[in-house]
Formats: sequence, structure tokens, C-alpha cells
Amino acid sequence: NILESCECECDGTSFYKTKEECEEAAIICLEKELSYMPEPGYVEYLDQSNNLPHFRFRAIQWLIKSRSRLNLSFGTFFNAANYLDRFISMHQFHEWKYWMVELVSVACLSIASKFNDTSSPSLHEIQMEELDYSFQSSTIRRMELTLLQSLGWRLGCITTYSFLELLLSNFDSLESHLHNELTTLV
Amino acid sequence: MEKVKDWNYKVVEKIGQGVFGEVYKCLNLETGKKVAIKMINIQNEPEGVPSYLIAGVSLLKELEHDNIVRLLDVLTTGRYVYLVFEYLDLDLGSFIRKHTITSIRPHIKTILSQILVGLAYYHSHNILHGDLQPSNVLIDLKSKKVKLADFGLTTSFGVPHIEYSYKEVGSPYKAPESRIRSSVYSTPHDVWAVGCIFAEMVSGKPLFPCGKKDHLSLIVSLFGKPTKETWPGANYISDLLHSHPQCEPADLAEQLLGLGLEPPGVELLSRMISLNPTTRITARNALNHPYFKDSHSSLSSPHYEAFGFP
Repeated sequence: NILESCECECDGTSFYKTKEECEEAAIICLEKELSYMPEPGYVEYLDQSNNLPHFRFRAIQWLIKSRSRLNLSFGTFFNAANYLDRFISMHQFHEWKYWMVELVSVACLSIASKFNDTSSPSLHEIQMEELDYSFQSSTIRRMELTLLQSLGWRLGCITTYSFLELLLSNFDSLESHLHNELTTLV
Repeated sequence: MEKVKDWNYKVVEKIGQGVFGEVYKCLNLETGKKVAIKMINIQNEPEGVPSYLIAGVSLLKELEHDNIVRLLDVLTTGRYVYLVFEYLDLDLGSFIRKHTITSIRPHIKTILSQILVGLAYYHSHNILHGDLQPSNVLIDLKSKKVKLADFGLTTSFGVPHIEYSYKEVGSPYKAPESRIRSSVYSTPHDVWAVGCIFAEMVSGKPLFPCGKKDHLSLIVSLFGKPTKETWPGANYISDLLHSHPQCEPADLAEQLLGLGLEPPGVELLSRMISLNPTTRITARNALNHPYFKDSHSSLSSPHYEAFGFP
């Protein structure tokens, strides 16, 4: 069942008992992954634009650092990055400025955390470090809504991390400390 | 609500009001279909779009089941989120009020089984309905479909609860364990409500009517005072029970049999309203109960064909 597998990927706590269940889940993940991809031509678009690849790189770096600083789950980072790419790819003819990418990143992290984590940081905490701009709550709320609408409120995306979790959950033979070490490497 | 005109909806009437917003019956001017639009005010949310909305809506977007009203669309302005749900004109509450128990009787199995199918689907995805009552069970006479909805806004925003998000429910369909503050608000709670709805279809009146006596007194007068055997968790509410007099359980079975419910139906009902939530039957197991043994075919049999009433 598609939804059951989705839960597995999202909360990162459940795992599959048998090899068959795991295989089945992997097949569903592969099928579903396509529906959570950025729009076609995204990579070419990034290649052709002057500043956007750099903006995106900075945004992803900020997401990685913020995840660690705020002690959020790994799934949250991967989801936020997925939302960011999907959103940018849907607005390919936009004249992107850095502050816009920064605002989108803040909204992505906030939504991913509210979707994934049991408790999420405040908008103030999210914006505490390493940002060039500071945004008001009402501005972020509007950005969140625009983002949610663009993504069709489809937030339980399949990311690289979904597959990793799936593979790791099947590594029964691994010692638990090794298991943990591998997970944190992600 | 003026805003929905821009999206081609016409407001017909207001059907609900709660802390979290308002619900309106509307008409989609393009398709001519009726919808229920829930308007949620988020302009005073200091932390952006609230997480219950994010988690709830994204979950609802993924749910697709014949026995659950669909979330058709999500519309937003900067200050409001509008959830557009499928809508059916008739709800089980009015259905029961408008008909005699003899005319309802032939339809109980098909209605009950569809409620349970919808509920089992919710529970298989770790979602609680949380506010099951006859007015949240919608009926389409033409297609003979029953769909679970939550337009009440009595408990919250109307997005089904993820497990463990306990909210105080002031409904006569709430389970006795809801009186225990520390208790986990979980799937048996919904099954209890279905049991109450089942009894209401059989007798034509609520099992635990709100009004004269308090909810717990009514439960005690039906089951007798809970003991360690009937409900091991009951000692948590012993303070509440203290004032209740010792009493013998009422013979509900006899009453229900007298009202024409078959013995397997009585047995199923007793397992749905088991005082102890841990021994209460699950929605999925209830569907396999002997009571429904002859009903799977009957859903399409001529007997159930005439779902409408003259």
C-alpha cells in the first residue's frame, strides 16, 4: 500500500519486517519518486542561469547547517531541499534574486520541520544564523502558503534519504552502533 | 467568504461554526456540484502556517477512499485557507430522525459496514477520526454510498487527528476512557462512537443522549459500575465514579433484540462498546464479524437495492 510506505519514509521510525515487504516498499518508492521530481528542464535551467546555481548552493548549505544547529531530523533536510528545487523549477522564468531564494529556503525548512518533526523551531529560531536577510512572520507565512500551493500540499516526498532509510532498515546484520554511525553519516 | 466567488463557488448556507473557522455549503458554478468549504483563519498565527494544517492537509491529499469524503481542493488567500470537501446532502442524523426504525432496519448492515470500512482505512494510516457521530456520516441515496466526514469543527479544524493528539470532545459519542486525562486518545475511541451510532440506528434514539444526566452516569447506568474485571483502567477515574451509586447493568441486549436486531448484531455491538478500550473490537475485525456474514452479497442484492425511501 502506497500510503503505508509513505509513512515509513516520512517519520523515519518504522521499518520493514521481511525482505519481501522491503522490496515492495522500494518498488513503490521508485514509482512515487517521479511524482516528487522538479519540473523537466530544471538542470538545464540552472546551468544556463548566472547566479541561481550559486544561490541554490548557498541555500542548501544553509539548510544543512540549520538542520544540525536546530537538531532536526535528517528527513527534514532532504524534504526541505526537495521543496526548494521543486519550487524554483516551477518558476523558471522568474528573475531570481538572492533574498528570494533565502525567503523560499526559510519557508521550505519551516514547512519540512512542521511536517516531519514532533516539535518544530520557531520562525525566529530558524532565522537566527547565517542569513543575509530577516523576514517578518507575516511575510514567511505568505511565502509558506505560496510554496504549499505550488507543491500542491504534497509534502511526503521520496528523496535519497527515503531509499537510504529503506536499505538501512534491512541491514539486520549490522550492529546497532554501526547502524547509528551510518545513519548519522547521511 | 466573499472570496470564493473568485474561484467560481457560490455560497448556499453556513453549516458550521467553531473555534477554528466556519463551514459553508457551496455550489461549484462550473460543475454544478455541491461542496463544503471550510474556512480557516490563519492570520493571527505567529509561527506561519500551523503544523496541524500542514500535516493534516498533506495527509488528506493522499487519502482516497470511497467511504471518506474527498478533499477536492485547497485554496488560499494570505490570511485564510479554504478546504474544499466533497459534500452530500443527507447525513445519518437526519436520516434516522426522518424515518421509522422499521424502515431503517434493512439498511443498518450496509450503512454500518461502510462506516467501518472507512474507519478501518483511517486507522490503517494511523489517523483518528475523533468526532464520529451521525451528523458526520453522509449518505448518498442514489449511489448507496456512505462517506465519513468531519464538518463539525467542534473539536478542532476538522482535519482528522494524527494519533495521540488528544482533544477534549464534548460529544455524547465519546468513549468512557476519554475521561482519563492521561489516556492515549486512540483508535478504540472511534470504534466506541461507531457502536453508539449502531445502537442509534437500531433504536432510533441516541444511546447516551446529552442533556439530563451527565455522560458518565449514563454509561454507568447501562453497564453497571466498572470493576477491575470489566475495565482494569477504571481505577484512574475512581474519583469521578465515587459519587455514582452501585447499580446493576441494564439489559441492553434484551432491548435491542426486542427492537429486531439479530443476536450476532447484539454480540458485535457489545464488543464495540466494551468498557475496556483494550478489549474493544477493532474496525477491521468488526468487518469480519458473523453479523456481516450474509451482508457482503446483500450490498448488491435486490433487498438492499432500494436504498431510498418513498
